[in-house]
Amino acid sequence: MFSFLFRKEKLVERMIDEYLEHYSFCVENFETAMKNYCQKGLGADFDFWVKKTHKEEATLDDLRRDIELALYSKALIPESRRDVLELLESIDRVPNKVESVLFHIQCEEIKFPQPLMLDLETLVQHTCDTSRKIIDLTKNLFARREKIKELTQLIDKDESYCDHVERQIIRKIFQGNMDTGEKLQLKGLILEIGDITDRAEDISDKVTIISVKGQV
Amino acid sequence: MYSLLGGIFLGWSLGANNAANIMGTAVTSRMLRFSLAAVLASVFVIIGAVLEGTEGIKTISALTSQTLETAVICSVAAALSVTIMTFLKLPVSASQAIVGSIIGIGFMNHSLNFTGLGKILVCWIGTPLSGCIMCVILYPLLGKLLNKVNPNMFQKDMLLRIGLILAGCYGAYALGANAVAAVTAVFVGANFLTPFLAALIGSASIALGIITFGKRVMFTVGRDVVRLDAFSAFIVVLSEAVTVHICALMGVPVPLAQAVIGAVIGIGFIKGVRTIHHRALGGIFSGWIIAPAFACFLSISIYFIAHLKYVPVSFTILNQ
Repeated sequence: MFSFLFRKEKLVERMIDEYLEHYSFCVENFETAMKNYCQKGLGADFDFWVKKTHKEEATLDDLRRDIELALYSKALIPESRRDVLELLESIDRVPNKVESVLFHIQCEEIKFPQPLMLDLETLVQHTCDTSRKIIDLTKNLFARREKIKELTQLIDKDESYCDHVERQIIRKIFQGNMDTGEKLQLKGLILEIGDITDRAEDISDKVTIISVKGQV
Repeated sequence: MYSLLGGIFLGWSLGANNAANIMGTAVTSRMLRFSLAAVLASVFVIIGAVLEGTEGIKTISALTSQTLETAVICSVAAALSVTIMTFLKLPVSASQAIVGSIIGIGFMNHSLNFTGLGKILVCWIGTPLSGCIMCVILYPLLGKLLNKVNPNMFQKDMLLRIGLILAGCYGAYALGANAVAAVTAVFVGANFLTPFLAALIGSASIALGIITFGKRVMFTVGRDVVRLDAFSAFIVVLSEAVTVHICALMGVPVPLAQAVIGAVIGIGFIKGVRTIHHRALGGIFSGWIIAPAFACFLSISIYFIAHLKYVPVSFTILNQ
């Protein structure tokens, strides 16, 4: 009976679903780009996937702005509006970071040492898995909210494991024979990749708070 | 019809000032357009006044014997006191002002229904208390229910918005049922209007106030009120509506704002935070005394001035 009053809310829900879909494309493209980099190094293929990731990131920015406009045109009560906007801003930091990592590799023409390639692949794999869990977590928040605690704990575990892999790689870099400049360059890249799971953990903390706030 | 102007002005100011208390949260947080809120509030005010406004009209019209002249003096004195006290930024309620002006006329007539007056005073004191108690009862009850249903963010948003709209409509209904007596009951006592016509004209003037000036009050005064989350705001509006409705059934017009303050204090008790400034509490206490006293003084003054007679003095020039 009152559904005519909530057209904007339905629209926002659909827009958020679309946002999460493009988010998953962005993470997939990043994963493909990094696999390509690990197997073939820098080249046309890697540039192609960097471009695709950049396009998805730009689409996500546009979608986020559209959602903001929809929210500010009287959809949702103010607290919910604020929570959704802050959550989307946090989620948006992940595609920003994945794009930044790829540009970093491309612009600085980083050549990752072959002996450490497997560690890098492990780090990237776990980073992408953690990033994908954010999609399930966010969908849960807007749906039944049953798995929020479980997913948050998984993300927390993943983040700790990624930190561990990160430290291992950095230790191996500095144990190697490269010059200091190269070591620092590689360390910078690893820390940037590690930052992706840190942002995922921030998102999961935010989702937990929003979920608890939803209780009266 | 000019005789009714004082009452119509009183109704208009009542509507303008109380629109914020019933639909303010929904409108100022942009959940509802003002135009829709004003239409809903106006319709429900009129329905409430026509269906359940007669008890209050009976109580007020029976406080003292009235003629058309004294009824006009009462409504003008009440309207003036509301205007002056609002200008001086003092808390004032139309229902307290009209009772004060009727007391003034009662003194001049040497006839005052102390039983009816006693009932009114008890309800005035009980209004903020009742608002607080209602809130303390309703908040945990409805909170548990909401947690049990466990809606997601969008569903909870929809439920709260529907709740605020329905509570606002109920608040408007209770306002109409309760406050219409303050606007036109004196004219029923003077046999100038029937109770039905009094309810219709009174509620129409309240609706006019909501539509013409309600938005401005909502967006100025409304912003000074403590910020509540959506669920708390819903409970406050519901508590205030129930309190005012009960008083309407008892036939006593009470200030809606005091029921709101009581309910907001109730929220403070539940959440363990201070939600109301001492100044607002002081406003309640002064409202019980200053508003009726000032209106009483005005009605006595106007009555006195209206009954001044020119007595020509004759001179006899003595022949010396």
